[in-house]
Amino acid sequence: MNDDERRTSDYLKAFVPRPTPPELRQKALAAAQGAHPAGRFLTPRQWGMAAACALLIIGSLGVDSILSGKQARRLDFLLDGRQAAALIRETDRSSLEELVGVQAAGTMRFLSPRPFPERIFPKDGRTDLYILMFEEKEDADVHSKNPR
Amino acid sequence: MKPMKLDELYDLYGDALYRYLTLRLSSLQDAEDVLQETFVRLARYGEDRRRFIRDPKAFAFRCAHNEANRFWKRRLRHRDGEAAFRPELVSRLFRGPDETSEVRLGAALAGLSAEQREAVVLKEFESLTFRAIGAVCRVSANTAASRYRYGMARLRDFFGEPK
Repeated sequence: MNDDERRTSDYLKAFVPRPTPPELRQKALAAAQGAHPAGRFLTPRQWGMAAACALLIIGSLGVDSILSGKQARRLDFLLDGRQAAALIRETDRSSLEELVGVQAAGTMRFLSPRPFPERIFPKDGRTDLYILMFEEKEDADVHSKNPR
Repeated sequence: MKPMKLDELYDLYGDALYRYLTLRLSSLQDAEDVLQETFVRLARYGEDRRRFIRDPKAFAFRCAHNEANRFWKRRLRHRDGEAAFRPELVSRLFRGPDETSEVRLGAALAGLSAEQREAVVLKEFESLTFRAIGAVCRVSANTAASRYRYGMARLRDFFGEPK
């Protein structure tokens, strides 16, 4: 503050406030007491913002639970042993048939029975020669029940 | 910090807020109404929250400043507009050495811009710091000091060399 400002400031200090109307205090305090929200922690605007945030949180949790429920069902289906095995078996069978065709599948069915040794007496007289022959069976279960 | 009760706040700053609002709104009746709204606003904060106020005086003036702005917005919505500064109100609020000096002070304050008048009144008559004035008017302390100095320069030009 320079000297000019100080002189002007000193001049203004000669002015003193007049008393205000005495009833004004009662009016202001009465209005404030009437509007006093007892025990209120947040202002109305903050309450609105808090409610909006709460709705957002609840909504996001709901959406998350729905999405995670779908995901969990998928995982349960895949991780369950019986269902997963059936699914894989079905998938492998269908893909195999697609790949090699029905004829190839029949060939595999022909190769699947267990072999049995059959002694053949060759013309040259060798008796220690065994040839693995494959028995063709239509039904593998029948074959397994009556092994040779 | 001890929580301040409303009656304590009024005893400390009520009269000063009334003078500030009268000079800002240029109306005694409007100042009374806005002062009530200011204390309603202060009451809404509650004692628990008022204890965290670092500078209660600046905070009370800030609330009064905001309520005056809301009052003006309502007036503008009803196309009433802002009231021009009335120099005769100065003699209703301040007692000078004589009646002539009161009239001159009113005329001198009328020659300032609203921002300069606010800064000068808050600094000279209500003894707020520049930092507090900046907080009240939502400007920096430097801006508040600049407004005050420009206003004081114009007052000095108006008064001439004060005796």
